[in-house]
Amino acid sequence: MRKKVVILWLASLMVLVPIVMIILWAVAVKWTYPAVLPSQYGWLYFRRAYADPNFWPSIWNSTVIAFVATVVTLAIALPACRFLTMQHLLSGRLIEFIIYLPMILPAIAIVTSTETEFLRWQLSGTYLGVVILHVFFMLPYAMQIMLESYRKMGTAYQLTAYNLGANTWQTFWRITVPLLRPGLIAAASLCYIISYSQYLPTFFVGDSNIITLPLLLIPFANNGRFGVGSVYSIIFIVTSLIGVGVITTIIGGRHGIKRQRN
Amino acid sequence: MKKKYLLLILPFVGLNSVVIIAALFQSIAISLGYYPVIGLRHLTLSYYFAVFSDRYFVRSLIYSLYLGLVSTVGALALGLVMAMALERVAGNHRWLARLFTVPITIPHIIVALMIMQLLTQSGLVSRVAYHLHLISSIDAFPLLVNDHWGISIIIVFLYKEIPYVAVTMLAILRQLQSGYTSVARNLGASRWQAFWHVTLPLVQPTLFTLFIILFCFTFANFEVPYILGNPGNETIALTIYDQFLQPDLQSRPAAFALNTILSVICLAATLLALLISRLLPGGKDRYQE
Amino acid sequence: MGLNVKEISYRYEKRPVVKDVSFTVNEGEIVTLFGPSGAGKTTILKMIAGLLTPQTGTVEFTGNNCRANTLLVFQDYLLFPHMTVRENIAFGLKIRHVARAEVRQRVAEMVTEFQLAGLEKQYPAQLSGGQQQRVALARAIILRPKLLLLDEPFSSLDGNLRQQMYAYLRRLQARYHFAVIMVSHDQQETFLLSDRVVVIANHQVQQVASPQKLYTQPVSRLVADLLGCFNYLRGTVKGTSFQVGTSQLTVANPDHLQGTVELLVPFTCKATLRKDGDLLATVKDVFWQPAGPTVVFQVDNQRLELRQTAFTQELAAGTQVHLDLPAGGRVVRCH
Repeated sequence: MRKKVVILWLASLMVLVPIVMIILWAVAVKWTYPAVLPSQYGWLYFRRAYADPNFWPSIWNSTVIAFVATVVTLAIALPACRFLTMQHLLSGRLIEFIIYLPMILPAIAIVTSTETEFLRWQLSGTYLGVVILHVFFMLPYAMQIMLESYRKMGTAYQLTAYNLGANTWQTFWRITVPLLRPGLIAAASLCYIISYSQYLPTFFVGDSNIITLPLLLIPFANNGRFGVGSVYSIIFIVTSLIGVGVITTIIGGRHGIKRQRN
Repeated sequence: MKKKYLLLILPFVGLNSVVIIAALFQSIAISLGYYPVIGLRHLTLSYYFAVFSDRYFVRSLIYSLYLGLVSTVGALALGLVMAMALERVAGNHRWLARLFTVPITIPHIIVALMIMQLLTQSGLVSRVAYHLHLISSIDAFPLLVNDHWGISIIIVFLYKEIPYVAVTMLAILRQLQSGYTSVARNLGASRWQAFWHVTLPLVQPTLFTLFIILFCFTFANFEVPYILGNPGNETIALTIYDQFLQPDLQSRPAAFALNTILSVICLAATLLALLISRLLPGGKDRYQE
Repeated sequence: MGLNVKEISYRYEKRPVVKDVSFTVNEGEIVTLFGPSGAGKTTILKMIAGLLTPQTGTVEFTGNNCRANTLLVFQDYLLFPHMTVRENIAFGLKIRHVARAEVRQRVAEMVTEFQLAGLEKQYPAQLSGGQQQRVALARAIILRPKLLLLDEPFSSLDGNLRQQMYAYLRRLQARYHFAVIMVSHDQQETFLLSDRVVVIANHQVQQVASPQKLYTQPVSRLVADLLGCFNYLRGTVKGTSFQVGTSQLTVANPDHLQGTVELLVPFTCKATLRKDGDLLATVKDVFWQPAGPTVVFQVDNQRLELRQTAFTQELAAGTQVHLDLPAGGRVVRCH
């Protein structure tokens, strides 16, 4: 057992070190070779990042796109999962394959093909186009989680509700959603982060009109500009966590459990 | 099955059709030479031939396969090991276990930046090595970023994927441990025998599913090689990216041919993995009703 | 050869599951751990099998018995889902590197013994509950254990199948000479199969006795409740004289209780009707049953139910009668 604890400690350490690096680089002002720690700390890089004209627009775009995409994804995934758990025509294998297709097919191929298609339909450079493509990539994750949730829930509770006289809409909001809540939170959080992290779809379909945080970050990373790059990384992580927190609260209500109005 | 229930699946089918069917259908058409926009209407396989005979392309294909296989197999093996270590220990060291799973939530781009900060010649590891007198100057530190073997690229993928594999396998291992593994041990099996005859066959389908997802992702990944790659040694995704950035539409058919080839490889790898999984002990269809 | 369990305890996250449990098992015995669900019986089995370590006390294997000879058959059988019936049964031999020819022969022997012919190539998911049960047993018995631990082995089988399996177990045991520790919360099953019973309730041993002794001399009201086969008649006792209403009966009073006590009257005790019988009772209800009518009496405003009765006359509701109960019925403290 001792050996396993040591392994765990080592692994956690290896996980922690790069994260600490990012934080140090963000708050360093002077950190030349071969010093192991910065010699001077300050907010220099934060100020530089803030001065970039794309600072607020990118945060705004990332957040709005992620929110909209998450809502759309769930709106598509929930009915689809309900349908799939009810029907018996297609084999489970085939369904799994279709659902996971966006994860199997290469993103670059899908993005470039879709961009060409969107050009014809004048969706290129629009928020709608970007959201559509984000949703495409987010669906497999949402479906995987929600399918499992739907299966666990079964149909018994809903049938009981119908039997007691509830209609479809009432059953959905009073029975189905509360029971699916943990799955919804997991799916929504995951989707939000995935959308937030997308680079290729936004780059190609956004057509340099729409700047999101990853698009802002990559040039700095590419050029080895550790300072500003780290700052943007931290801003990325913080704002994405805030977004996830907001979504979780909306779905979960106050204290994670929404009180039912009688 | 009432007709109105079909409405439920419509948005899903609609979205996927728009993207997969329409887009890929179109891209296959263009790669076969049907591109009215620039006046091509004649179907031909010439673009595919051109692509396969291009040595640069073949090299980048092999390089991508190498990166994909090494990262995926490495992540699966090490992830499984971590899962087995976590299984016994995680209950008592919950915060450590949580910390270990943090990389799952960090996007690849940021991880690439982190690894860069660690492993470039002016990175942290180099500095520590200098202080420990392992190297005498900054140039003596081996080239790990933007290098020929893609070491930093592989490390990025491992950093992200080992926790992911570990977490996925942990849930399954826990189930098995309390059940079938106990039985095997009680019947007299050693730890290794129980692992080989009982645990491994039962987790093998999940391992193969993970392989498919991880391989397809790393093989065709763009962002990480873009940041950490060697300009002389591109991955396929980068090649395609460059092609599409060119304003000259004449190069599109060849680029779409690359797209199609890439997709076919991913699909082939998927089917192959599923087939192998089926044939090995524990292969699903044999015993599930 | 045997097993000595000495004062083992187990706590799970501050909650006691098993407290100071002791009992012995002798060669060739069938011992049942009997008690309500959740009393820790499965935990005891796991401690004997070595899956859990007792936090106090010891599990001692005596004679030529040892832990390696002790096999546990889980409640849900846990047949390896990815192996056929044959592979499941052969598993223990295979990992001991037994020669292939011998494996084949011994597996064939088990297949015949457990009536699994024709099912060798099937997977567990394709088998019925009873068949899975037999495969699980075969998988253990092929290894010739000295001690077999069975965790509620028959709880998921229905009526007829259960009866068959009881006979099975006895036959197997006579043939292969192993001791059995069985966990059960079914009183009928326990009485049918056991040589001795360890009654476990409230995480502790309440009584260890043969089924017969348990039935005739339950040590407390708690044990009597668990057995669920008694009426409780409240009355006063002095010495061996028990008074209920206007009736007086001779009883056994081993604990020398005095004052208000309860007399245990088994549902199936052989009561007779006699004009001068000791117990005055009024008939309230009569239900026909295949083995003999169940008659509900009222005795001193208390309910007395007698089953499988063989009274010589037909009783109608409201009739007053005099009953003779077997002497030496046991009294216990009031609940």
